[in-house]
Amino acid sequence: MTPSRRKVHHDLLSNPGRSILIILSIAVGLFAIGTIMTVWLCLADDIRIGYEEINPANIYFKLSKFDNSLVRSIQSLPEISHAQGSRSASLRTITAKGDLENISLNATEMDSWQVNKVEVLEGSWPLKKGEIALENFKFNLTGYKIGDSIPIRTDSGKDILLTIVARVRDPSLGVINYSQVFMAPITGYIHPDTLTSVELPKNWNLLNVVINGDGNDLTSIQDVSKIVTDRIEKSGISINSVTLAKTSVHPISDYIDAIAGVLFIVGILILFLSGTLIFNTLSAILSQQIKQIGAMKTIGASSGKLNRMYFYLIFLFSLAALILAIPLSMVAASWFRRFLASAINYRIVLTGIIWQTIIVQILLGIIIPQLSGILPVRKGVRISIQEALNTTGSARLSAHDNSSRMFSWATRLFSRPVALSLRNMISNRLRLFLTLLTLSIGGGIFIATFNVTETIDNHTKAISRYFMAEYSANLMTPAREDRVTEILKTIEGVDFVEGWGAGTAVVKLVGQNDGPNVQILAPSDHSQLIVPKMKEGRWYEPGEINAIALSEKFMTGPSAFKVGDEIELEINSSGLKRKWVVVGFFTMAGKSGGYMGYMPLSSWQEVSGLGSRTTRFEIKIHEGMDTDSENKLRQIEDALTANGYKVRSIQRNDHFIHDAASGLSILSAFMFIMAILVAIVGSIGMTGTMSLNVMERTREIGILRSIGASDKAVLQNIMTEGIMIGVLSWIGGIVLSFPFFHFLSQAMGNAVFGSMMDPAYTWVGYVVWLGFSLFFAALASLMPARSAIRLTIQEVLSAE
Amino acid sequence: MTEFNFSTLIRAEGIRKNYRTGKVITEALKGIDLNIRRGEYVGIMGKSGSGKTTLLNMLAGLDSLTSGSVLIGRTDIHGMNENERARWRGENLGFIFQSFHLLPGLTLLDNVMLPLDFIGKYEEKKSRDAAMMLLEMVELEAHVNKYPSEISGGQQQRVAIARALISEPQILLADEPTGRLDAGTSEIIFNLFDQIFANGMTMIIVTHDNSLEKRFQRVIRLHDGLIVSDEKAGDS
Repeated sequence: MTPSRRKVHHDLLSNPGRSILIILSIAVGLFAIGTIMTVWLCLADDIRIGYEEINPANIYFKLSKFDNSLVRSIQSLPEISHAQGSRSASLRTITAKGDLENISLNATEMDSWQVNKVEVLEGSWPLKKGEIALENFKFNLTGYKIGDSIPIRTDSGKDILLTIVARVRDPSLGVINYSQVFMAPITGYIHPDTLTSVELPKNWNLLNVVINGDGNDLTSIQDVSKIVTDRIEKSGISINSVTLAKTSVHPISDYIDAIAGVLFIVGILILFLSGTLIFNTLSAILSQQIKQIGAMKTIGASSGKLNRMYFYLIFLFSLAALILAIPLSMVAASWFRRFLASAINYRIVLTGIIWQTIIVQILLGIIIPQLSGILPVRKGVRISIQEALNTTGSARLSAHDNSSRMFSWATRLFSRPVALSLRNMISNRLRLFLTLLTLSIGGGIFIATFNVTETIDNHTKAISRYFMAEYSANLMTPAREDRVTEILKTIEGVDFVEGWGAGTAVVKLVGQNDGPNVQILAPSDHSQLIVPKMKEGRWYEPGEINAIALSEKFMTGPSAFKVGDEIELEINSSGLKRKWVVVGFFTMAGKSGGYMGYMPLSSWQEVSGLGSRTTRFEIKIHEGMDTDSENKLRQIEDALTANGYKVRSIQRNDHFIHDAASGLSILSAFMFIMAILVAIVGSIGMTGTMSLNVMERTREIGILRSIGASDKAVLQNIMTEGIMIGVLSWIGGIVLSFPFFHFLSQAMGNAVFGSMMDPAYTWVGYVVWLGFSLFFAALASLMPARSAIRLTIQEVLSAE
Repeated sequence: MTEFNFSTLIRAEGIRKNYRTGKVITEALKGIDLNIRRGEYVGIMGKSGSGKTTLLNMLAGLDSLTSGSVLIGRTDIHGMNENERARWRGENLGFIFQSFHLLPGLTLLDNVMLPLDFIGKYEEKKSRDAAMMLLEMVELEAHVNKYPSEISGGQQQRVAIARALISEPQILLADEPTGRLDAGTSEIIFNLFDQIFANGMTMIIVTHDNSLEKRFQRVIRLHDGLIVSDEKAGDS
């Protein structure tokens, strides 16, 4: 090995603190990019491949009732790849804690289960009579484990015990009834022979069809849907609703798009952040090497040779950073993927090493430091020998330098030590600018993520204003509103009760054959229990004829509706068909939210044929009362049952809001993880820059001490500088947080809601980042300053 | 016009050097003409600020001229670009600094071998043997694997001398080589210089120490950027 190469190796190893700093500066960016890229690359594929593997249905027909002869008839069509009949029913269960919860039960032929297959995570399979498999997503809510018996409350009020034999994952969860996984209740799968045990008819009500050909072409799916519809209608079976779905589009793909969009933006910003960090650190290292460069040039080193030496040093830094960052990012990405998989209910399909990420990390890990090094290395190498040998190693100042002028000016306002800190801060303006830029970008992203989270939380609060009553009781049969209201009002703590119309209907544009099943709610006129948030158009007026407001989900898809469209509603309970005008779209849980419609109570009473009878009662509890009590739920059930009313379900609306906002909460949690990642990059940047600033001024510290500055005064001087940088970068962070917030909330809003969310701001991000900035600035200055004051004055002054 | 003959190794003509500090221009050299013959042992003397270090830097091509020229042999060293000059300097000049400027990260042996690496003449065994020989000459063979911080200032200057000689230069230049050393150590260094000179090296030493005057074959005195006397030993 040549002496010049040995010098480079010595430079790498001789100052471990400095080398670790620059290696960390490179590694932190590579770590973040590696983590983000792996998640980004795998997320879509994990979900798509996992979803395709279950052979997802392209068309879901909700029918009155049918048997396997229809299934065979449909299966025989050449356009059909698979057809499967199943029964889906909503009942209630009692959890291990004793709470009543809704449960969706699904039964299909075990030995010919071809469509929307479930993945068995643990337990035994196939199911036998009297057994149940529970879906993974809300398994824990039941409080039971495999081997336990779970009670299923039938419509007649009996509790039938089924044995839990398996935990399964159903990636199609929520597609048909709830539109998104988060809204789906506890879900169980049973053998068809178990249907009669839980008092359900032993026939099918759901036909799941997979088409032959391109399952991602909606036109093909629609064409096949018409053929199948004809065949069903010819067999005399009535169709309640038809839902179309692409083979490769998971029901929660909007959330995935949001996450991917944010990952991409944060990834690019972290890359830039890391680049400036590396530039700063390399500049500082080169400035420490200036005298050596002068000496080497004197004894014959050409610029080319010096360039090669320093780029080789940078390469070694890159190598060390890659060795550190690649495995760490693999571990972090794996954790991140597991977190998302459990939060969004998908299976991790891609395993092993993601080579694309490693290749990108290696390329970026080598190229970015080399590019970041071009300017500092060229500047260092091109310095004249005289300048190099005469430099003090710190910023070269003259009497005419701006920083010196600033010093004179600052002494008029501040004490001399503070003025000196100010001068030191601006003595290397390029570095100060890059430090502030780096920290401001870091701070900007950090603050923006908190504001995005606040925006999401704000939206969650908006969702809660659709469910302002604490409880919603649903009866099996319609009852007179005034009588039930009187009964419910007798319960202690109940403030008031509103009877709402509730039911389901098939909705389609006039002139079209099919459309989705929509949940209709009809609040009482002048209801105090709903404050809608409009996305487009308006809410209906009380008593308005034929006016309906639809959820934002209707605005997307192949046959998206518009304000003013005339639609046809077929009410499932009465079979009555009537035309309505869409007056507006309200926003709820995003494009992935369910199909919902609100109409005036008077209209509902007319079309449902129920008059003043209804099945849904909104129960508002007195302000300040304990609404968490399960006791209240039982009191409501007991009061209704005692008066002869059969209860289908009593919904705790806080649970419902929680479910509706689950997807948004995951995005909030995800944003928080991003904020932590940025905080790590930013704090390393701050620590690095401040440490290097102080390292460069070791000599100046010696001089200050030789003329009588106490250790405390030196520490004060350095920490004042650090804190000033911290405060300035915080202000920069505030400024940059606005455009970052705009980009991030736009990416997320567009993916989830199809538009920007209403911006909301929180002081938390600003204060936490100020704390971070000041803490790391102080810490970063304190560590090298303490080392510097431990040296004797002689050691410091002879350090050159 | 300076005298020139075939034994002239260094010919400097009309050297001027100005430094600018803000709006103030300082004339460090005000027009120096100088010839140095092959094998001469020249001392450049003068008070602090007289321009002696600036002159040495001009002769070594360490700093740019404001005007004038320096020919070494037939090479106009200020006519070369920075890279060519660095390479040329590595092959033809040995330079010794007042503050040694050894590289702290390299052992003494590596410090001495480093110039060979820069001029592309590094061969592991040959270079090591040559460096060892020079370190023996400066009596530091027992310390070859030490780092500069582990030896005294005088020893560091002896290593710097060995480093300056490794590429077998034609000329050895030294700027206040004993400025940081005590009298005893200075004596050792100058004894080494005498020994090198005896082997036929052309040497130019800058010093402000008048007591060293008698060691030089020729003494050039500078004052305020001008040569005020140029005397050969025994002239006075």
